[in-house]
Amino acid sequence: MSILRRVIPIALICGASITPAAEPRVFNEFEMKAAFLFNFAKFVEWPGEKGAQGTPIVLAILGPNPFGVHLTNLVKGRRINGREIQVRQLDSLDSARGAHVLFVTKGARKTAEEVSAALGGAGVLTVGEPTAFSEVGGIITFHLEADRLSFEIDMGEAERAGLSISAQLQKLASAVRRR
Amino acid sequence: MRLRTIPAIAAALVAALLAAPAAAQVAPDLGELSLDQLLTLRVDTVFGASRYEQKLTRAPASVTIVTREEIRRYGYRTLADVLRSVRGIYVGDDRNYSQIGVRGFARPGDFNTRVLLLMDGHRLNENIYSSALIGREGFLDVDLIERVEVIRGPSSSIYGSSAFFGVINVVTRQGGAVSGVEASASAGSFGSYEGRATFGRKLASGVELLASGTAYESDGQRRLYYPEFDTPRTNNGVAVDSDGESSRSFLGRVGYKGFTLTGGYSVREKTVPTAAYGAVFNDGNLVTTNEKALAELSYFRALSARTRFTARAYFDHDAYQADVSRGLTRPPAPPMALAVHVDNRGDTAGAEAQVTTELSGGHTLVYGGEYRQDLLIRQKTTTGQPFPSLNQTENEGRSIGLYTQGEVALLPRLLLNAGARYDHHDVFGSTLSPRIGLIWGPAPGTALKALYGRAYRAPNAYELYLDAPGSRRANPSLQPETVDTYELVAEQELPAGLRVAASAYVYDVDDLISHTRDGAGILMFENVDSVRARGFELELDGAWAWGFLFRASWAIQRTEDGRTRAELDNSPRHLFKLNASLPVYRDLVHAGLEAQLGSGVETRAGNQTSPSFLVNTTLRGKTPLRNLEWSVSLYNLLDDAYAQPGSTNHVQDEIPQDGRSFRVKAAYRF
Repeated sequence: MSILRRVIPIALICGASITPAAEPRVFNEFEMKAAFLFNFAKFVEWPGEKGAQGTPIVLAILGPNPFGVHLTNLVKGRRINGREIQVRQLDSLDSARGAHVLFVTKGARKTAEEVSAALGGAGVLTVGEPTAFSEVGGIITFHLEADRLSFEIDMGEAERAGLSISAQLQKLASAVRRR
Repeated sequence: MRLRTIPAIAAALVAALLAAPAAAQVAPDLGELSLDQLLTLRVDTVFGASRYEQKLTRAPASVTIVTREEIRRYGYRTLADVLRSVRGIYVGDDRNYSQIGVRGFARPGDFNTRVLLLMDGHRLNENIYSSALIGREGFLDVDLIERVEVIRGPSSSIYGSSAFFGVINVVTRQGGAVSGVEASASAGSFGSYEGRATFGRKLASGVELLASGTAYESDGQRRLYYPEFDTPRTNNGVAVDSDGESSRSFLGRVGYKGFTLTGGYSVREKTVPTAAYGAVFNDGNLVTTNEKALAELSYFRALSARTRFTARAYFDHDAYQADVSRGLTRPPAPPMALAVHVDNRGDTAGAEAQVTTELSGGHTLVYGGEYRQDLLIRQKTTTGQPFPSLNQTENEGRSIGLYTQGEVALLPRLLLNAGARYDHHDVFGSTLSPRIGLIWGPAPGTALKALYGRAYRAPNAYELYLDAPGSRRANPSLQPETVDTYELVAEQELPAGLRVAASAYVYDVDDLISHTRDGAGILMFENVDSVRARGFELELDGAWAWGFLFRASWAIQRTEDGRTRAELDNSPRHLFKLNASLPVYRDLVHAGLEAQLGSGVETRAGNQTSPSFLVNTTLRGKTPLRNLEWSVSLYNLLDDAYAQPGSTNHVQDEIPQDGRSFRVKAAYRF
């Protein structure tokens, strides 16, 4: 018994003092998706004034926020090409045209066609989840295969939106489509 | 161990729970990772609860996942070891088979007939006794496991028979994940040696291959003392060299463009030292053999971005053999034994198909069907001189099942998960197994679930058909056992990778199949008993990117006979578990500690076993190039003397479990 009493506190104290090392673990889905969104923004060039230095990059969420604090915590203090990052929660599609990246949650109850029609050519990188948003109109679609996240890119839709997506991102996608 | 140590351990567990968040400040910073690193990370999902990948918090059940990393860090040798670490589950070993107890229910002598064991969705319960085998007698080497999903509660609504108290879905490693050749070897106490070779690869052409073979040999305990046999004629109660075990298993798989062909074979031979089944004590002649072969062709196709189709066709062969030399005389009469040979066999073929559709608005619909045919179930017993006999039954069986399940977002934060399965068995007719769950997520990371389910277990061939003139009568009119379950589950994700889960349940089991005697004193099975199980479970777990893994749980349960209100045999009131693993040298060496505390249980004779307190530790390391992985494990570090109750097959009222033992293991990747 005395062994256990000694071991547990020691284990915990030792644990807290050890240097972090990246060992693949199991993560919350939206903690992961937040990190993906941040990374997508690094590989996209926006047209016109959206690409202007000195202005913030806006990550917008349409529908009930599934991220909790994960997305805001993640972008805090981080910059992409020297540009600040802002997270915005949107009430409707109408306010989405100013966003750089728009994450359309399952709960948004918007069809792909509606989103595409509302944002056509506005230079918004739309990112969706398969249930509510996948076959047409979504530029990037998340997939959960077994317990790993992957994404596919619709290059046709990206071009219609006026976005240029780097080859590196296309290489990492599970599929690149052109519709 | 003494009873007064329990509060001390409970206090240590609570202290650990409270101290853990302090350690959690070193949270993962996913923002520092590149996309290709992110693509390798894993999301907390479960497949087995609904037959599609869904988030844990959306599953209509209380679920625990044990990952491959945990299997290695805690030095688990078999699936029995894995399950022993899981909240609310207890595992015993009668030196022949391992037995799972779930929700306070584990009748001594019946082997896991009310838990469904799946390998990648393929039913592994054999078809003579409908047992899920989890020790070395089981089908799969734990080194081939990617993760184990333990889904508590009834899932007959999608799986049919046996998904009664829970489902254990074992997800195996894919060839692409192995990506090369692995070889491992281990040696441990009781003269135990194991070797494994695995090849896996995903070729550029898209073909994915896996082939793996494992061999295990153990001398077992040299001397086992059973006071019940302490007479001069029976070696003063010492069974010498009669605990040996030997197993072989093979798994192969080829996948291409949605098609996967799987084949596997396993055989285990065990010498049983307990003189079970009336065997002569210490003659080394009680040997049981379990064999399983399976073949499966599965197909997966995305019909559209929202609709997936899966199908499989399979063939399973199971065999059980036992050699018993049964004592006919009692001392002081001269010893006389009857050689009994059991040679049972079950062959099953079947096919199933399922469509999963995601509708807009976050709804998911699953529907599927299964046809299953027991081609042959043979139960054959022969005896030698002086009473030669042959007793054989051969039976067939057919069943068909149709199921559907829908996950519907009633409101943006309120899910309804409802489903039902209809089964028709040619032996006893139809069953309908509904399950309904309301899952409310008032905030991200919070899930509250209210669940109702009904499940059944079909009577197995042993209960239905075994007939031995003068001692046992078949009862082909047995009906399925049923359980109605009510459960409330709360799950909360906390900052920094912590998760807390609580669950309270009431299970009502009816028409339980039990041994009875007819007017002439002949043994038979009848649907006579009922049981009510109630309990509460609490669990905290966490995983942090710097390598600390942590899981602590407490289960309190009371399981009583429906008529007499008496507590059931082999039903521990409390189960405490703690698992913690942390890096001790960079991310190369990890130390794992596991503590499991269980109340004593009642035995068949009405005695109480002493509480059990198991502590296991494992040190696991890798070389910087990660080609070599080694581990050193000590099991039952404190050498606690604990026991599990004997069954009607045993003279012993308690079967002592293993004391302190060790294993060293090395695995190399080429």
